[in-house]
Amino acid sequence: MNKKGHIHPITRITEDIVKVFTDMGFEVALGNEIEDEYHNFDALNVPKDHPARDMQDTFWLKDLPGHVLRTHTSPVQINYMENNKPPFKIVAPGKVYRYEATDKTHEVQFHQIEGLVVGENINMGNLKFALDTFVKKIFGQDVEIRMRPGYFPFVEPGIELDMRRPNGEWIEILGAGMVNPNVLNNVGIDSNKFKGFAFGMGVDRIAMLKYEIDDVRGFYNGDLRLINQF
Amino acid sequence: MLISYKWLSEYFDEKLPDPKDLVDVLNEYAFEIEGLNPSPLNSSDKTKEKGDDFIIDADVLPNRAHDALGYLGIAREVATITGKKLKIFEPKKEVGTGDGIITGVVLNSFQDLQGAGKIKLNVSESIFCRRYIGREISNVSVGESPAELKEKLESIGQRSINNIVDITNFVMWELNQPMHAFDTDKLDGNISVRSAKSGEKITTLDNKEVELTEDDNVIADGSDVLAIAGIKGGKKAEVNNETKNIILEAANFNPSLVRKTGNRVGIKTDSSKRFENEISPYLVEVAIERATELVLKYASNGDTKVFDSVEHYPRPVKKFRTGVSVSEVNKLLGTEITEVEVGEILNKLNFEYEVVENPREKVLEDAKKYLGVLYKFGASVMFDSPDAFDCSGFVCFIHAHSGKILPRVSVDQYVFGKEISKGNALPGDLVFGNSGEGEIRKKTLEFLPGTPVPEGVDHVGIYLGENQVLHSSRYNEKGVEVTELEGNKSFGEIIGYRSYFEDEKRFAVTVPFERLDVKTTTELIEEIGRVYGYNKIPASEISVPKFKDEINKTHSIIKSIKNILVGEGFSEVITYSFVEKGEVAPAKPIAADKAFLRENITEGIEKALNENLKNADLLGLDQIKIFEIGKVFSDGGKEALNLSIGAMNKQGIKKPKSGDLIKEAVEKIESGLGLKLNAKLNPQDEVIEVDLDKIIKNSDSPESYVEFSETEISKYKTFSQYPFMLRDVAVWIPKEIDASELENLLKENSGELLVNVKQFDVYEKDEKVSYAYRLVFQSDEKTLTDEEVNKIMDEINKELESRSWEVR
Repeated sequence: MNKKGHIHPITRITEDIVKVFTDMGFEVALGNEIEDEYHNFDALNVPKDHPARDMQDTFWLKDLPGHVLRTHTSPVQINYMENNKPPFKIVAPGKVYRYEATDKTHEVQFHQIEGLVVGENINMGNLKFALDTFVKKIFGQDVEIRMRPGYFPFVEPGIELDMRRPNGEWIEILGAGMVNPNVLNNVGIDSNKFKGFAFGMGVDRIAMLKYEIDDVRGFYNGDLRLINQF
Repeated sequence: MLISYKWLSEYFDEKLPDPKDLVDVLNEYAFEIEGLNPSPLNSSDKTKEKGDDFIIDADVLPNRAHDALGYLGIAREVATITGKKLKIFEPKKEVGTGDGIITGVVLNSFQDLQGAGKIKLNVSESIFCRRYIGREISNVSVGESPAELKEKLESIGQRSINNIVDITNFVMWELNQPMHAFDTDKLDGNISVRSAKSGEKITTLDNKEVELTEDDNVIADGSDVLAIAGIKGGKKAEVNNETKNIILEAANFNPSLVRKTGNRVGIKTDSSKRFENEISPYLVEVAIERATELVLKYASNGDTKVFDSVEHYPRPVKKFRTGVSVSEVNKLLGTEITEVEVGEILNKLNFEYEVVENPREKVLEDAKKYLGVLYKFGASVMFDSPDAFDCSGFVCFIHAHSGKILPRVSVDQYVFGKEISKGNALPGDLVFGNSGEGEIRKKTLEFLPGTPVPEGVDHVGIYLGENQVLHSSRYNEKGVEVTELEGNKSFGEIIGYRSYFEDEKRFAVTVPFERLDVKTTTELIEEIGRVYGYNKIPASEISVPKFKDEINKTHSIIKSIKNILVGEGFSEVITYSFVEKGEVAPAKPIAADKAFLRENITEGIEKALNENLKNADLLGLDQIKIFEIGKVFSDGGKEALNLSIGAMNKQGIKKPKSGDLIKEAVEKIESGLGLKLNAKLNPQDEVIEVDLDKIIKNSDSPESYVEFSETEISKYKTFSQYPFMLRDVAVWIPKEIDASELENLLKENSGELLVNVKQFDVYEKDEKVSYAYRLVFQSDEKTLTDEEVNKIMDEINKELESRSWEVR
């Protein structure tokens, strides 16, 4: 009698989230974990010597000048835009790295999903619709969301998205915004003609919220006592 | 940014919303609030009448660090989003360049300036130091700060030093402009702002000795370094209780140079943070006047004298002009905000604006006002206008006044505009030429950089119709002129016409000095959107035709492999990319055993197999079967996608062999997907690893993604960290009775401490069947003892006896 194995909860929730977007006609895009500085920062409107670089602690690589372990999956979006003309909708899941002290809610490696939609009539109402759909499909139909001002160099306006827990508490889920015209222009997409929105979320965080897991480190030690519960 | 509610309230004419309500409004419209706490200064004695203060901790991000790391900036924001009226400071006197009122605050100026002081200023690094003001004040009374000043600083965790130092600190927190004070009598000669000499040293105010390089910039006197500019002051000219004469300093320094020095010397201060994030040089003069006012208020006596300030300000900034149309706002936000509402929002923001009814007409009108202005190649729109223009800078400048932002260089403007034929060109449109002389650009610089323009463009002007053009040119007699178009030397070959205006009004907005974050139309739309309220934006489905719907081959195959393996009883793990040895390393590893990127997944899988084996009984497994798909890294930063499958049997389990389990799994993958994994397999193998990249490359793309089967996730239960105990029990029960009855008995009589029960043997004899179970006991709170577990087994035995079921 062959008992079934278990998909890792990170994979499972990644696929659930990806499916919410592929059901909306999004394409999946993947990319390398080692990236160059241009694709990880400059193309995203985060120039050298800019305080915005402090927002993400980076693993620079030894003997590979100008290369980093990607701090987000945004480079996948840049690479995609360099090779495809709009309109398009993509979702980019993957492993990312940040140089941070490890504790219950922080690990040096974790997973993200980012999304990008670029088209002639894309607006912030579309962003809201996409995010509302996502939150309801993953957390339930009666979950409320709210958007409030945020800042990321690659979007303008930038927002943070909160969702309301059953106990009434608002909790931050992801960051998003309208793609900064500089980002579009730099990859040769005319920002007069095309607008876009983008969002990014930490999958580990979403998994911890949804499954009520309290320590992120449990995801990466291969412990079946966690994995086999899913 | 720590905001004392009490301190903030002083800037208002009306009572502010309660702290909790204020926090909600700030969150919704302005900044993320990370905390709301009672002030550390609140009296714990409830009988004291002292009003309670609250400290709001606002997360001010880099885009608002220019204005909102100071109380006036926060107050302006609160006024915008609550509608509460801001106070104007008494006495009234205007200061600053042009109409410089900073956000509704008007400051003192001084009637009794004593002329020039004795200290002169020499700034040799203008790239570094964009503005510097020094002001001598003689015969001050240095001492303890008054309670009202001390309280403010201490409520946000700042230490009170003495009244002069506290004033400079206070002004930084109030205006977001760092300041410093020197003891005049401790100076050897004049003040200079210069680059450090290699090896020059300074002992900072907190007694740290720092060695500097030529890349660092300093404030110095004739013989020593007085301060690491923008970062930290030195001990030499420290203001203490003996000080009689002071020099107040406020300056503006280049953000990236301050940052570089700060990183190199390893010193970050409230001051350097503000410079790194860039602040407007306008704030310098406001700060000096405010600080002077406070010195006179708190540290003066009958002999105090205020001198003229000395200033270095080679390139005064002007207010930035930007603009937007209502349709642009609504197009980006997806809203239906009206012109009236936009105006109301701009008023709330205290942004000056003009509604330009006919931008095209205004361009023509405005352009004519600058006839005769000097031509200067590369003239800066920000600093040189309206005293000098080049051709494209002039065009930029004029359009900004109509609320339309154009790119800076002519070739970019050419690509940016809408192409129109000569016949359709109207006055106010732009005409482009290629003079054939000098540098002709054939590629755009900043707008869609690198866009080819093979025809080449190097000149632009405002078309007036009837062969007339208004342009700034080196070939014109008087810079900006109206000339003939055909045959004009600057135009040479006429390359084309471009139009920039839709038939609609535009808002031409003049941005307050300190709002360095509002330059482009998009940034202005963000301001309008957030004050309007993002929660008012209606959600709307993406209304474009279905985008192309392609399957990502890699993603699909990975998913399929995982699905097949799970069907074969393997569980997916994700292990660390950082390991103890490898070929690629991070420059700064986080730990010695994580100093490299993994070259294989096998080692991680082996480790996981062994660790999980310890818990096999707890998991109710006879063998551990796991897999991982992930990246491995090799020399030169090459990365590959690998699959690793591992299996390990529990002690005593001989069949199936781990190698056979893996072999079966591999075969299932190969037949399921119609590909070959090329895995080398031996029966003794516990782990295999294959490179998936080539395999994926050479296979066909599937038509759709597989679906993982649903799982029933009852709520995740944190597992215990305490060791578990095992007991085996075999019981003869009558053949007719189902094993589940026995199992239920075991479960019911074991209670909560039984975490796993697994049948491992069945043996039939006569009319009875013997079922053998392994019981796993574990507590969430402690290590169980034999006695405790024995007690449970006794209970079980009792129950079994009562049913006459024999224990084997």
